Amino acid sequence: MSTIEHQIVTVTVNGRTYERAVEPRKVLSDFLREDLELTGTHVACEHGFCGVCNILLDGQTVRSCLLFAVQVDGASIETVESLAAVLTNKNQQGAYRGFGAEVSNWILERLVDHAAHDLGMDRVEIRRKNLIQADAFSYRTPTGNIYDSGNYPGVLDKILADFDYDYWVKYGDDARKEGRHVGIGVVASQERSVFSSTEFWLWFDEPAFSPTSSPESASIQIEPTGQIVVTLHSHAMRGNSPETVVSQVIAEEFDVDPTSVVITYADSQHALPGTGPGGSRYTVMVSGAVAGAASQMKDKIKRIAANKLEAAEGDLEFRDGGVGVKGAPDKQLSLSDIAMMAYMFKLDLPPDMESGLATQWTYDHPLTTLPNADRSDLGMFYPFVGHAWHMAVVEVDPGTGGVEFLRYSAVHDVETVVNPKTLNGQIIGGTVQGLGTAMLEEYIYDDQGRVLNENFKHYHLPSSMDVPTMTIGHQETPSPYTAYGIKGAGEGGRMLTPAIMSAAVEDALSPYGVRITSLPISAEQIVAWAAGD
Amino acid sequence: MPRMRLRVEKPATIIDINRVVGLDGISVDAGAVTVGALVRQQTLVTHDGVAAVHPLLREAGSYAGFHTTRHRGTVGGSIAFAAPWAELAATTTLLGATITVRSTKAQRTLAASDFFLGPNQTALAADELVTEVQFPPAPAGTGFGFHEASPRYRDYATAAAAASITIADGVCSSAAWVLLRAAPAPLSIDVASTLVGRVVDDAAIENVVQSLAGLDPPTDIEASGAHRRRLAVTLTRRALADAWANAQEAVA
Ligand SMILES: Cc1cc2nc3c(=O)[nH]c(=O)nc-3n(C[C@H](O)[C@H](O)[C@H](O)COP(=O)(O)OP(=O)(O)OC[C@H]3O[C@@H](n4cnc5c(N)ncnc54)[C@H](O)[C@@H]3O)c2cc1C
Ligand code: FES
Repeated sequence: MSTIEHQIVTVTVNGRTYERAVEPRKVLSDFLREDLELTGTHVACEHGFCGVCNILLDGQTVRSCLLFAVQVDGASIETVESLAAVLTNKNQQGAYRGFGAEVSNWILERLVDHAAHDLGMDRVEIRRKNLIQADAFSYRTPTGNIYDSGNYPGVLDKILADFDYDYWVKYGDDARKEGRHVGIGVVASQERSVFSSTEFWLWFDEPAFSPTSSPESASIQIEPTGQIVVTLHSHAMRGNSPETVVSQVIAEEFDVDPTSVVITYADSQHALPGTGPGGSRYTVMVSGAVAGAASQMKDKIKRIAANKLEAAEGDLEFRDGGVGVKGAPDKQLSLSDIAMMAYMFKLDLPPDMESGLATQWTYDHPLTTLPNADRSDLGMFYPFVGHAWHMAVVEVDPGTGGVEFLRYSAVHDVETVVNPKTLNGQIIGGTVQGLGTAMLEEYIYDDQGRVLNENFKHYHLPSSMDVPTMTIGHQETPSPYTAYGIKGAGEGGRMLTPAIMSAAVEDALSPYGVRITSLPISAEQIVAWAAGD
Repeated sequence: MPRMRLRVEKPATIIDINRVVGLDGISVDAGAVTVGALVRQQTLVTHDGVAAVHPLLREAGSYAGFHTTRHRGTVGGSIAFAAPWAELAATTTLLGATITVRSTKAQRTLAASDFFLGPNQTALAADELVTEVQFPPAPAGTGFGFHEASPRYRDYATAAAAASITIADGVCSSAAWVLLRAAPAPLSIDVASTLVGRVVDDAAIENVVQSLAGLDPPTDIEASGAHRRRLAVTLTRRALADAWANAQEAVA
């Protein structure tokens, strides 16, 4: 191999000028990442499709994976580092989002739709008739798990009002008369959350290891300046947002600005027991851990304040970033007043109190029981169960197989809504992933078993242009068992979309007598059905 | 670039023509449009003068990738690359464009219909460069139609159909029709003999699409040939209907 002479490239990236000798074949994205160590520009598909390498080149958006570094000599570039956002595509691999439940829910909902069809019943009415009623909680399932709480008819009423079901049924009927192919899909789903570790030994007939713990931990320290620092002991890794949630819980407990709270993570040497995100558990469990540590912290603060202010602890309240006597606005100490005493003025503390302001709490799964020996009763292993309904209207183009959304509505009951933005993000993300499962995602193999579509050019994920605009409603039925009544909400969307797309497309194609029995529903399949194949 | 990125191609020599002077002009002169090979696809798509003469170039061109790829991708590159899904290959063929190519020794001009030979195969010799594309003026009373099907929004076309119809005295006076991905290269099918002298109504269009019964498009992992044939029928119906409606507007 001949060596290729390097060329000098001078570029201005995010306002800073760099000069580097570079091999002429080096692609700009690699140059940015390797030579300039600006790794915010990512590469995935490496052929111009996915857009994770987008940059601004002299003000125009371009794909940096499709340019050589030597071509941009003298140019001005802006990369994602110039924005106040952080992005990563370093995802872990593994089973994801409601795995198992998305399949079983698809089968269940398909069965219900077909039963409704065969019985001549409306798709909503058959479901309403079979809902667990609000007075039946906590509801024990035949295999031993429980559904802790809920008001399922309430969720249904809410979505019917938001979606305007009767309007769309009439709209679909009218459209059909004009030869259009409009279809409605309705699905309901349980959204189980917060597994206990007994779930994992239930996977095996004879588990080699049968743990029963699945705790989460949190530590709180208040520095002498009054700064609250929370240390978490499991790493956020699946797009959940523990920093936001924990800041909010702290803000509620201490009446401080949530943006003032500092969140850090323990390393493996210092971590307390933790289980980590997964199974829609982290918000519930980390909130419980923070609530425990906060309660201890508040007790200590109140004792210090009561001593200093000469007030009864019961008369104190957390307000305006400090603690004060109820009804006496001038009798107030800030968190930093308290913390200074705790760290520096031992003799101002109650006599039996040690210095410092640090607490920690390990929160165990609040509701789990053992399975019995023959597994006829699996015990409680996934007991906090939310409830969701989605309704969608699609219009199918039988000539091209295109599916367009006319309306998409979702209502979830995940009990106390900690943060509506992060919750909606979970619901939308789950719904979009479910849409990929329903309509696009599939490995194609040749007859030798080789994967033919091992890149994102041919393994199709929905793009932002392919997903519906959805309205999202919430109902809150707090769990009696968890801190603040929170339930998990990370997986619901994905459990519903495969079934809803099947139902809606099937309804749209009812003139052709179509029954959808496998996924994804490809455009090719739709066109073939319409052609009578 | 994408093919080098995917390690499909490892050319020994790469020539950057971006700084070659004189290849990036667009001119519109008495209805004739001349586009230099280095004109960015996004420039072509957003050029109002071009759209006024050949609205099809804007319509079909906006299906070619995304604005992030069109900001860099050139008209000459798209034509020389001759991807099986290249909308510009279909439109140059439909509009009767000519493509000027030159080597260090000579220059020649080829009809688009003779230029595209198959997927990524053209009449270009190894030492030839595409320098410009000339689109002849559209006759008065001309309308265009373009329809494309793809798995996702603006994905590579599974199939596409382009049509143009000119109306004189209330009937079709000339017509052209090109299918993409129905054959290895853009497939130009004679439609004038069926439509000239007629009103292009549903019956006339059905007459045209019946000629597709024997079509045998390629099968690949994105779609079967049978699916592409069905798409060709649907997209042709829509493209012809649009072309007729647009031509009627043009003469109104
Ligand atoms: C994600 C993505 C989606 C896309 N989607 C579409 C699509 O839907 N439809 C579509 O039509 N295109 C699509 N493209 C293709 C793309 O937009 C370009 O048109 C095409 O690759 C040409 O790009 P280029 O001008 O940079 O040429 P290059 O990539 O630099 O060159 C391509 C080939 O043509 C040769 N070449 C270039 N210019 C000349 C010339 N003047 N004379 C002779 N040979 C020349 C080169 O040697 C090379 O072999 C897509 C590309 C990407 C990355
Ligand atoms: S890595 Fe550049 S578009 Fe995907």
